[in-house]
Amino acid sequence: MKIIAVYSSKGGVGKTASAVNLAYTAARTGKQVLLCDMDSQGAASFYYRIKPKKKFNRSCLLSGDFYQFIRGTDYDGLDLLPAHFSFRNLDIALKEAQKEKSRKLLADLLLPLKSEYDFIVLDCPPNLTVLSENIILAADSIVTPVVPTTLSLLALEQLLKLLKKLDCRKEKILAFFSMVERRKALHLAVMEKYGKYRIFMKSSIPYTAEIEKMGLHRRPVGSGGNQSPAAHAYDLLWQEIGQRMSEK
Amino acid sequence: MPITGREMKRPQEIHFLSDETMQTGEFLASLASSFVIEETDRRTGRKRYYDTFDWRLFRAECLFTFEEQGVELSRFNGLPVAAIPAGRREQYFWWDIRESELREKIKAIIEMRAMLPLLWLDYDRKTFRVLNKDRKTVARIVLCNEQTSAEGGQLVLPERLSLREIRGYGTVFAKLCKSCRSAGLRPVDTMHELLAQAFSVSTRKPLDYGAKFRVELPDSSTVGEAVAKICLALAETMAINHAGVCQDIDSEFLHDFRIAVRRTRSLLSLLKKELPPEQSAFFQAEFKWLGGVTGPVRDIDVYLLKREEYLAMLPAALHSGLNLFFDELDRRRKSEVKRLRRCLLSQRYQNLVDDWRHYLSAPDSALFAFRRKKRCRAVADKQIKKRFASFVRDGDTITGTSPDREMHKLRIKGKKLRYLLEFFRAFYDEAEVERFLKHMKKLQDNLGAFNDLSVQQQMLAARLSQLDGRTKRSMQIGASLGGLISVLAGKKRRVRSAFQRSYAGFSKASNRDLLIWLTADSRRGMP
Repeated sequence: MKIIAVYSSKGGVGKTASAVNLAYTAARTGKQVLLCDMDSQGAASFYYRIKPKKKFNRSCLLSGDFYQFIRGTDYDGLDLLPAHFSFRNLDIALKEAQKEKSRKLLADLLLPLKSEYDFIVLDCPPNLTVLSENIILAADSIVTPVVPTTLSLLALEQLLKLLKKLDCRKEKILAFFSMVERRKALHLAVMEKYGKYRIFMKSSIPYTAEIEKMGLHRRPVGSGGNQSPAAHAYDLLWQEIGQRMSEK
Repeated sequence: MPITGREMKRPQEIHFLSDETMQTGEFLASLASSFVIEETDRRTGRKRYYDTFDWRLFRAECLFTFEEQGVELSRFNGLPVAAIPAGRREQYFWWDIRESELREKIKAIIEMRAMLPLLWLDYDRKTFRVLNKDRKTVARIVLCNEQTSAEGGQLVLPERLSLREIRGYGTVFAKLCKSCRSAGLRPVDTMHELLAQAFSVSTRKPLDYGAKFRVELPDSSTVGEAVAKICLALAETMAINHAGVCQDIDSEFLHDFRIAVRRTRSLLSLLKKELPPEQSAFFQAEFKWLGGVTGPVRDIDVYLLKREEYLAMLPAALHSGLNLFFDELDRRRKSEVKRLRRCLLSQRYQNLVDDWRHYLSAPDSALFAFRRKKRCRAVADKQIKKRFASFVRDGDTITGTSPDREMHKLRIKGKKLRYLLEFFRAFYDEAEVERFLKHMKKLQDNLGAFNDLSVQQQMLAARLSQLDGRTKRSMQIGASLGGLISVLAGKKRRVRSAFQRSYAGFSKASNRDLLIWLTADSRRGMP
């Protein structure tokens, strides 16, 4: 079982769209996948039309008593652990829990699922907190969407710093350019300058209306039947993630 | 962590069949008044089911099918395990499937056996999804119309409705199940029932052949009756495997055939004093002939089956020599198979089969007249006790420095004891016999491995001494065989050193007591 965190400390870079579509792509290749919606806004859960059960909350997650709250999506091989409003304070709860336990609480929570799933994809909230530390330590790879702009690059820099602090290898980070608009000179310039670094994967995800409309259709981009350019881009990205992970 | 021991519940699938009062199709239409149901997929097609002769896939609760787009391995619960594009074949070995996850999974289940076609299945399958108010799929319904065909004809199977649970939506699934039951649809307990129906048009029935030997013997059986029953069952095994051996489908037809021959010879020899001497001597000689003519091909098979294992033992530089050696064996096997086939299609073999059957079943057979009143149970008790005592007497004296031949002698004695228990298991407590045989198997495996390694070493050394060493080819083969012999020698030492532990485990007091208890005279009552 591999844990893939889709993470960036910056908001609005396409984390949830990436997590939702990558999880779907992985399941379509015959793998058993669990998408964990760690963001209290619950956008990934919304895209998959899944609401949490009434008894589910942060405490269930942290005590490890959450298997019964995992729900099947409309797609074979893809399950989802929905977000809950109480996840907004997950940081505080983790900090409390960590007084006694290690920063590896999240990793320990997910480990027993290894016989069930080939991949666990974490859709992470945008912050730089104890939760982020837990996610970084739990993940085998951290897939980081970077919009080709200065602020987004800054977030990547912060992530590198955090990894160093946690004594993690920077090769864990698999960055890619997200929401790319080729008509924008800035985007092209940033990609030209930074794309050559090993931290960035070759694949990128374009800014398309189809991805934007996911909120309207409430389904991953590739699931409509016809193979769209956005779905193809996610297929290529998933393929490259697989290659990079096997190189490690 | 607090989470150990918690397990995820797997989503269920329940199948329902139409009955006279309610058709599944009609029922589905009636569900529309309480649930939002949408058809998502319809597939029609033709599948061909394969399994090994001894049902290895069925035992693993798996199905291997060919369909236009390729081959697939799936579980009884309908979940796919793996699939790849592939052409249709009359039989598949694992090595006929290209390198893939599917190939590895198949290999682990079927090992060296061939998968043979069993029946065709024409299907028309519609999938529906049950939606909640967010239009999220909360359950799936599959409606299936199928027809099977095999050499025995065709059969339209009853229309089937399958309910598939989606994880986390158990309440809807439970409601749907309740509706099916209250509408009078008949739930099918297991996939076994559905497959049994599908196979009704085939000459084969699931699990109609297996390696486990068991013959029902009433406690009052005389020696003649018991021997006849056991030997007829063994003759049946030979007959069942005969065609597979002649067609050379896979190595295990011959293996099973030879085991039946060996068991027959063993029984005739173990009960020699209780059987008509003249006839016994005749059949003993004929079965010895049969054992002899089937030996050479099996001896080669043992090596060919180890090809991968042997290659893994040697560095890549020695592989070419070893491959040349295997190619040689392959060629020799072809001519040996021809010779074997001639023997098995000969008049001598046919006469043996006919005479043997007559001897075992004719009411006026000498078998039933000789010592006609002697109860077999008493003979079995005595023989088992005697063989066990002899086995542990020899086993107890074996030390780390005992010569190899002592180990081989012990293996033969163990085999005879195991055969006796298997022949006459019906006289004894089934579970206890199984328990004893299980303990014995561990030790027999150790002795068997030791014997195999000794024989392999000898054979390879013999081949090595035949090589003239003048050509590049013979040098290559020689280097590989030399390497292999030294690796096998190391392995043999390890197996030998594990013997004492295996033997101590088997010969412990509880096993000795168990055997005494098992074979206690039934007339005196069990302790």
